[in-house]
Amino acid sequence: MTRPGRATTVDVAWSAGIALVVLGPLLVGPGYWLFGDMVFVPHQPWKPAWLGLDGALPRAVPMDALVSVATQVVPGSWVQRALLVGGFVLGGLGVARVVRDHAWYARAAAITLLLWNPWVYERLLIGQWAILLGYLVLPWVVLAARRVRDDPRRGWAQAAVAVGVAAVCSPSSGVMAVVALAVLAVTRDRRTWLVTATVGVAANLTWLVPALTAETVDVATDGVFEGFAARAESGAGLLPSLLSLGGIWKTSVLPEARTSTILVLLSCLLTVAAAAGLRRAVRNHPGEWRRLAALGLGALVVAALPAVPGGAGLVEDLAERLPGLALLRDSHRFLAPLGVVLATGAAGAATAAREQVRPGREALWSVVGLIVAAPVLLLPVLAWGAGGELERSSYPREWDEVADLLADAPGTVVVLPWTGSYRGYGWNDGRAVLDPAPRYLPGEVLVDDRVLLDDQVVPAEDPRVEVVRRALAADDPAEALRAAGVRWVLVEKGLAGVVAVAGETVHDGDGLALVDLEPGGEVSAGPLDGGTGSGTTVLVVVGHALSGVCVLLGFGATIRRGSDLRHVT
Amino acid sequence: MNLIISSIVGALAAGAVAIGGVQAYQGSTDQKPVSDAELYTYSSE
Repeated sequence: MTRPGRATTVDVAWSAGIALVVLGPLLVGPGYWLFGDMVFVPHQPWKPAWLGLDGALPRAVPMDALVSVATQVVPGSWVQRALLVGGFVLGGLGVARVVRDHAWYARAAAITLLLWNPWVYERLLIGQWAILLGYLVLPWVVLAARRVRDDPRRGWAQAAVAVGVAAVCSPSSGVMAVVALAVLAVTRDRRTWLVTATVGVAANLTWLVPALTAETVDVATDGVFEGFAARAESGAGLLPSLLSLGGIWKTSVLPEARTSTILVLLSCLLTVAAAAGLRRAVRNHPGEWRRLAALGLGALVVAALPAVPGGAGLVEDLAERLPGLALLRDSHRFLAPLGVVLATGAAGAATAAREQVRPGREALWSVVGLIVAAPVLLLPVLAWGAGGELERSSYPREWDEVADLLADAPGTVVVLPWTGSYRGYGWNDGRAVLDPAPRYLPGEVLVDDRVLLDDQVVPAEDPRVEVVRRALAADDPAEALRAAGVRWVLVEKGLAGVVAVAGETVHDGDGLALVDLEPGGEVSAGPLDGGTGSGTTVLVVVGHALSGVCVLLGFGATIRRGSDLRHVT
Repeated sequence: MNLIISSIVGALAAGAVAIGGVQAYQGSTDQKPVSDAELYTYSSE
């Protein structure tokens, strides 16, 4: 049997190796990965919005707050690297701890499948790094649930940390963590219910309170479930895609390998092997395989629901009554728990294959090797930043110049073109990326947050966006914007759809132009003034404080009692 | 038995690599430059 310290070293090394192979291009030079929703900036100025105090829907609360604080100390490019590499290593270590009583090759199989699968590829390519981190926390939720089942009085601490960290990553990650904890931890012992409910609510207050108190939110559900439903990647159909952890709605980010029916079906063979190995993987934890199987099956159903006939309409009807269900519109992301379950099962499959090795059947070792290597063989394009597609970029210097100008003369900024929130900057090789302006520039920065689908437009969630749209359509946009409380217009050049707005141009660079509207007339305190009332502010702050205390107390108790990091059973 | 096992494992691994390699050679993702129309449309295509 491998010594605990050595096992941890092996698991960390294997996880770090995979992280380096996947994230390599980001690590070998300066700059950022900027694509899809992945936006990091050198120094993200502090704003109340990062804590959900702007009355908008808390999509990145409180992760934006933590990133903002971190970038006051170290450059954003370092923060990006630390979060991605750290997430991969801790995620790999977590699933290795779930199957800690297995040999190194079995743990390696689990780590490889967790970190190298179509779900990881597709979420990375779409830039949803926080969702990816939330997924990598899930193995620690499995471990925490095990502790809660064994001893609710002591297990709460790990549960608080795991669910709390997941909730920080994103609201949907927090929800997934709570559901996973409930499925895996709740027994007839009422204390397990109490721990799950208390930790689940307390840890998620950090985004739950801003969501419930948001004053300017109008979540549209009309048609969005169908637009964001999981899709078949190949001729094999939807189910094989989902069973092999693929099937994202945005088919344009699919690796070509996933469009091959044969490869998707081969990937399903790995899924079958992992499912068959699940019971063996957690044999020392009676009944856990059933819970894991239920969790994986539930994830599959949630991911598939909007894609099956009538499913989208059903969820849409439900979401009109329960607005919180709008969270499910990108249902494929909720396939994440299945990834953890299959990774766990892969360890059992590898161990089971090893146990069949005997004289005359030594070649079964190659089956063990195949189980370990299969995720890579089936999706080699994940290596080296999606086969070199993901290249680093650096912001032009003028972004800092504009940020300095706005810091000296604060005021609400409207970013043009007012046509969706994704940009294709020349300096970023034209890759589609979420506009960095709200994170790069100080003060209130408004971009068009409507979601433009192929055949429909999902209305903006923030009514202030509609106010700006009407102002830009007015005969005198500058006057209308001033009346709405806008002082600055930032024009991102080289992009179509920019409306001419009269004002004093205080910066006119190669890629950006900053127009001051104030010289043309008084800027009123208009409807674009964000923020919440004092009562709501107190509630939101209390929510953050309770979540923080929950996580910190759990962390302290976990450290005192001994951690899974030490590979101790 | 060893020969049979090795053959099956080898065929599976080689098949996956070969098909994946051919597919990867034939196409790529949309992280390359996109047109404005594709950029602004949160499109599946």
